[in-house]
Amino acid sequence: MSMKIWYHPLDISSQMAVLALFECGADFQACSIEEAGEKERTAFLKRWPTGQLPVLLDDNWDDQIFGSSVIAEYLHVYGGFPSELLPDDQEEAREVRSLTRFVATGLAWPMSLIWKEQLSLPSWVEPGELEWKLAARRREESLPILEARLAGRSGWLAGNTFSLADCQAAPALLCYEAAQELNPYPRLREYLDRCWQRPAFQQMLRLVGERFLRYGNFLSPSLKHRLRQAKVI
Amino acid sequence: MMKLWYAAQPASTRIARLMCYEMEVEVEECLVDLENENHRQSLLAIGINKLPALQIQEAPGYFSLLPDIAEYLGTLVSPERRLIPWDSEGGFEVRRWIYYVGNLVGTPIGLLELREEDSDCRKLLSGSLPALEARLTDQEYMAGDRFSLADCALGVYLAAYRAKAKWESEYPQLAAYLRRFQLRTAVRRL
Repeated sequence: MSMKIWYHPLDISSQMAVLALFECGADFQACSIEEAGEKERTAFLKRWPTGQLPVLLDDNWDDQIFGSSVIAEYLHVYGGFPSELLPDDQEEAREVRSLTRFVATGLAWPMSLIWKEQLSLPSWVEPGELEWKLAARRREESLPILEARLAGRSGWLAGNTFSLADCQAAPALLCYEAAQELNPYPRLREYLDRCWQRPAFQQMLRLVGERFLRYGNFLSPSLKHRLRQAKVI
Repeated sequence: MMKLWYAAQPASTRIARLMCYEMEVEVEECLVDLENENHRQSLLAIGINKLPALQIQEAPGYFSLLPDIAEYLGTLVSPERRLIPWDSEGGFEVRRWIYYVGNLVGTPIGLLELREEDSDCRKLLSGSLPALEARLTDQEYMAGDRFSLADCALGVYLAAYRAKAKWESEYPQLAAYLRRFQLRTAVRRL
């Protein structure tokens, strides 16, 4: 199986998909849309006209696999990798998927709006006043819920196993911490500490970390410290 | 008895109702007028701040995201009525098209419903709809030979888009698909 992922290093969904690939121990080629040459980029857009990322291409699959959670599902169903990102039990898997969607809509989406604006990254459509209000409200609501969820847990969002929900949450929290301290949420901070200990998280950071450097003035002191400690920058 | 709280807009509330009809699940439908302050306050008083909301009597909280609602209702019905199959490959196929339809079709059409004109939304649709047109050339439904949550979503979004633009001649397969969709018993109940 030969897989190639098209991603943007500062896109939260791309980070999540890359994290899932590393968590599965997959062998893949990572292609940053930013670093692609004109010819390669044109070929990509011809095959995938919307240009939305991340997209996984696999020699064994005749179609593009679009979206971070779909890529993770693909790895689970067809990848043949020993991964615990999704439980085999139907009811447990339903809970993990539901939690993943909660994190995606409540934290990752609002953070990606804020992140893109702070870094002046291009967006396919400019968010209007309504989207900004919704994003702010969702983020305000979701952080305390996730903080409460971690009460009494020394593991992960869905239990003792790092799951798809954690793949979604870790990059979103990383971006949150890039902009502001996580101190009001001590359990989430400890949780993010645990994410930093994971080899796959560090591999993902090494892939995207170079780009963080360009925004050195914007990064919070704690994140800079962590990136140095992990030898990402 | 479960309660489904919904409003006239956005499209996701219509999709939630359609899911209940397609799965033949009995719910009490509660229409909310979001312009009405009393309605909004009543909803907030019972802890609901987004719609659609599927409220289950025995459990706290509610489901609001469409796949969450579909997956929960799927536990209550027979396998052939499920809108997301439980087998790995069938489930994956439906999920990947839900994601595609939701993000690349539903989001821009939803924004077009709110904004009079948006060239970015139209540009995204001109990138995403051809793949659906091609897919429907040799199959009846989005995820294969059975109607799924991806079809509930796509049908409702296409109907909403038809109110905004004339696209049928450009996408004849999608136009035929929408006609078939609108003949469904469950869709006619909307």
